[in-house]
Amino acid sequence: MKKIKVLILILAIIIVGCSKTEDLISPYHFTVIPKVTNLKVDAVDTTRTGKRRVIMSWQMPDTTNLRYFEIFRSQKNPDNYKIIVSNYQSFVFADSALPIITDSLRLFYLVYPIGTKTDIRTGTKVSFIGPPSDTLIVIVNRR
Amino acid sequence: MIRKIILLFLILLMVNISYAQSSSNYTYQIYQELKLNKNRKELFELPRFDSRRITGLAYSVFVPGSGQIYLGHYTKGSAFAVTFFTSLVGAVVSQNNFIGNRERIQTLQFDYLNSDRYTLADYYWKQMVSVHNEQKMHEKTRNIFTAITIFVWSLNLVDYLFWTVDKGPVEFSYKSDDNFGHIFSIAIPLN
Repeated sequence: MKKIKVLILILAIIIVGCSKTEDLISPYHFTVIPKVTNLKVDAVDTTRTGKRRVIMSWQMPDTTNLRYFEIFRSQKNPDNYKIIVSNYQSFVFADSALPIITDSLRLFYLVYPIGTKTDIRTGTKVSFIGPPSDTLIVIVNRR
Repeated sequence: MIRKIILLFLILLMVNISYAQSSSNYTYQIYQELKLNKNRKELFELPRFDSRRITGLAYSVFVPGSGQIYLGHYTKGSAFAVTFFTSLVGAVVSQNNFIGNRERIQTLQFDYLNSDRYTLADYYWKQMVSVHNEQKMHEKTRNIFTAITIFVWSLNLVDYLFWTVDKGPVEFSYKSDDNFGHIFSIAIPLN
């Protein structure tokens, strides 16, 4: 009788231990800040001092949680992106600090929107880097 | 007259013999039926429980198949034991993977909620979804193996209680298949 009780106890532990798969939490990162859209080159021209310049613009479907933008540039997609401007709050940007151009130059740009999210531990608002824009490819000739 | 008497005698004798023959057939049929009924066993008829059967039952409860082996059914007992332990190992391994997935999800969830950028959060989210799908698969596997384990265990008990007859204790004997072996051998009951 004692053995049967032990056996029933073991079976009960096994059955209780077989828990079900818990559901995942609902994702938050899709809705914190939207992606930059319609990133395009407006013009590739020369400044008054003779430097080459790329003027680009973009749009945001919702700016409720937007604080500023960060713009990245690379000469070799998809690696080696370097930040060229931070805390930028306009939708148009002119890049006149281009690398040295021997003949022609292929440049890749990315724009990141920066917003805020609520920290789960402290409950305070913290910075959140949003999704990157589609890559903008610009070919700049020497003159 | 003598012929008539002899003829009458022969007729009486034939009648007597034929009656005896038919009576014998009838008795033989009844005897056969009685024998069949005596040998016929119900599908779920409990056999008499002696000390060997009780010991075997205790074996079968804790190690499925061992009771059948104890009563002399080696193949059946082995089949029960192998099936039971294979499915049990499968269930334990699946449960272990299930728990591993759950812990991995908890870690990923912490990282996900603490991410400071979309790309990182998206990476953790995709990992979480992937591990969650794995966890569901392990849950299904575990449930299937557990069901098989319980089924085999129950079947083992039913088989032991109703369908396994005792073949008697096994005796160890030197050269038991030889006629002279019995004379010069020592028999030791193993169980």
